[in-house]
Amino acid sequence: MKGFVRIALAAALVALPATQAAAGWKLIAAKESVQVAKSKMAVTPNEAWNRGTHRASKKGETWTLDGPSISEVYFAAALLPGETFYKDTDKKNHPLPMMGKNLQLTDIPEFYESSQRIAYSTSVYEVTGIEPMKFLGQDGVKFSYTFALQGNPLQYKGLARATLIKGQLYLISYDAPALSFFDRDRAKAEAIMDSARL
Amino acid sequence: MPKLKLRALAVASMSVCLAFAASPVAAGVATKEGFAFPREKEAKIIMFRPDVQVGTLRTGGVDEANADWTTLARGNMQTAFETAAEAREAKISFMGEPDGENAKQLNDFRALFQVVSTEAMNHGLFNDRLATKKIPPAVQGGAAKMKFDWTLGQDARKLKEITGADYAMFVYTHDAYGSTGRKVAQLMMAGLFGAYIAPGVHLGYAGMVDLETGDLVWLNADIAMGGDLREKDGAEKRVKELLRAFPKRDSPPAPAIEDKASKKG
Amino acid sequence: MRFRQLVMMIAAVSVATEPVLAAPAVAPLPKPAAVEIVADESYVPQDQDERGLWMEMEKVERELKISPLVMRDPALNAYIKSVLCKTIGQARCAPVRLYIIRTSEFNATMAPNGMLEVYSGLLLRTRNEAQLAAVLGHEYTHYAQRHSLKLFRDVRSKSASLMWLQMVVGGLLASLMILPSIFKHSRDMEQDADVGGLAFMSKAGYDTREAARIWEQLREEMDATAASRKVKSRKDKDHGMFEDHPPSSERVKYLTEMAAKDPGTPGATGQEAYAANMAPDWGDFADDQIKQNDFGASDYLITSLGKQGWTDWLYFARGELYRRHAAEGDLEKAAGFYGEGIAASPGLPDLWRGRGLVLLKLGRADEGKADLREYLKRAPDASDKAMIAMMAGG
Repeated sequence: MKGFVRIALAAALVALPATQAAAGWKLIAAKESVQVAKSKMAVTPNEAWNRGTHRASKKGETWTLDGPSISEVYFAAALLPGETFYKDTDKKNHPLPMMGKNLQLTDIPEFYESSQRIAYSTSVYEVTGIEPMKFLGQDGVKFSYTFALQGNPLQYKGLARATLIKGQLYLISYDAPALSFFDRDRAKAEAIMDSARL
Repeated sequence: MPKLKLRALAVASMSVCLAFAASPVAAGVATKEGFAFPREKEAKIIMFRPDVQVGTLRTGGVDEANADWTTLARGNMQTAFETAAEAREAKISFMGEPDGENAKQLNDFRALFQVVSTEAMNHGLFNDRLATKKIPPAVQGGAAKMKFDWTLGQDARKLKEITGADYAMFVYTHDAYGSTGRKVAQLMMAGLFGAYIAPGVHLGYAGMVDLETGDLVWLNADIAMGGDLREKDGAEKRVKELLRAFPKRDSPPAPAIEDKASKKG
Repeated sequence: MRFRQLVMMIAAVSVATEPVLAAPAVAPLPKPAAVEIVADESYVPQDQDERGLWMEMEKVERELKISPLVMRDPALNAYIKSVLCKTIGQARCAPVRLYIIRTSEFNATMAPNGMLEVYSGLLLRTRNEAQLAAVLGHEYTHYAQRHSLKLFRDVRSKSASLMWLQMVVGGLLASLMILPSIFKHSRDMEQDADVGGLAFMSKAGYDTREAARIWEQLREEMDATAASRKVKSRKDKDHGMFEDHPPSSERVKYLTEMAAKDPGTPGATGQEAYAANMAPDWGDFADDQIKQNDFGASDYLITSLGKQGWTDWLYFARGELYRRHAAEGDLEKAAGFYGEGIAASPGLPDLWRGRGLVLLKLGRADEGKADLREYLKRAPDASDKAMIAMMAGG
């Protein structure tokens, strides 16, 4: 259906830009420390990953193993109050939430959930667990979630760790289809989270 | 955050190339390195209900489904696949729409295939290649290789139990034949403005999963396929194209895939 | 589905042709003529175009049958189906397949093959059975009058004209010349569907004034969104997220006039039955809404529901909304709403969680920690117990 619409539109208005820009991927080598999300946060993966060169936000970065619908690690670093997790794509109708001031750690899962619900336009999203956990050497929060997307038959599972340092928010999340993949790549993603340093 | 929306999938990356590229070329085929059918026995392949649509591409770009053509195409395609399988000494059986007690597993498996094959197309066969899927040349000036190692994972084993098959195949085709007006419009746009509009839509892909490992062992996609599925001969031609580079029973293990895209870059 | 997407396609094109939309529409005339219903349970597609559309829709429906976005709860499905059957009659409703989609958006669509999608965001916004009946009758009229097919043919022929014209006069100008007529056609169908929907309401014994109320409510909601975002309301412009079913003032006007002529059963709104049946899900739907980052609309929706009777989950939703919004004074208000919820009916442990978190932020640490401990006492298996326990001071 979307294909129908897109082809029809493309034909009708010849000058429309392509909506699916090729992302481009850069190699992240195994066992080498690398700074992420244009910040001082550095991680060391155990295996090679792909870093998307098309950034979902100025302070965000996406990694994947086999494609972002199969595994995705998202980094957000040094987010300040008033900033969003992703770039707004439909600010007029569906503006993304902005980071608030004086956040509690429990506010982070809510902030991330709302951002993802809007970015993915889905309401099938549930935070399934929140617990305290050290992250970047600080008191932080670890949370897990599940979601489903329009036009994609798979259900996804995710987990994330986050903390606040001097009023700035740092987060690493991992999500993958619940079938086959979430458990398969989970340890690799958690090793990246474990390795994170500022 | 860039996850796939699969209702668009079928056509997604392919149709965008088609609609916007000045010279639309997007085709590719890959066989997993080292793959070979077992020689000692006939391979049992289960084919999921092919996703087929045949229709008309109208002047203004409306892509219109034709139910009669599609029914005809579906029948012709099934026959052509059976003939092709026989010639390869494989046994192919066709599955209806999943229902009953195994429906969930079958649907789950198809969903996994849709997502994995689309990622393998977008980030393997086509130009948005993942960096980890490129193998640099072993010697300087040698050929770069592509790592084609997508898998549906261990959950695929369940399907082997349910169906008794060794392999599962999926086929997608989408055809829209340009109306007369569309063809005229194409010529005029080209003549007057040098602009490209597609005269028709003929997309197709097919893939095969090894149910022992869950690995996607063969995948073929093309945005400009030949063969008119509405006719018997045409369907044979289309199926032949859909089965491009399909491993033969006596083929030696597949070699690593030469990476033409990387060589160019 | 097809209908919505065709309209969406047109709407998408309209982005390039904003001036067309901004131009005042010619005031539409209500068509009092009765709507001819051509469909019944034995209907099969009549020609090649229609068979093609059905085939595509059947594919969409196969996907929907296994989609994780569809709400399968039998009680909710049975209730919505019963309202449909009451509205359009048993014979017509029997072959309809209903899919309730979990999404905060406001929409319902009926595909040409008889597949009806109702969005949970709609169920949060209709206040009573009569309003739901108005929407279901409206969608059924689109279906019965084969509007998708007509619009499909219209788009097919006009997009061809567009193709030829743009070679002569250029893309944008060609769009300006052709698109208004497609919009006009789509608007006419909306109006026909309104006429048909109201007739169904009346026959089923609902108060037909509720049809206009839906659109008034949407207009009020758009004003509320605009006010909180400090922008101009789009209720008379492009209708924002409601562009599929524009809540124009003309629409309210003609529906009100039609209701005056054909009042149905005044006072029969079915509000209590609706509230009783929605009660198990409204909390979740409200939760979806407050996570959409639209403070104005969310507060409007919650307070509107509150006017029909405040409940613990409504107070909770409002507390959550204000706690998340956290503008000047919001946290104090949030604490108040949670408190009222606790006073109304202390069955929802999350009321203490919310108030505890707010009180901590307000610097009232002892009270906040006490609330969090109360939450843990009432919800010992909460999925965030370890986190809250830490904040409650062990």
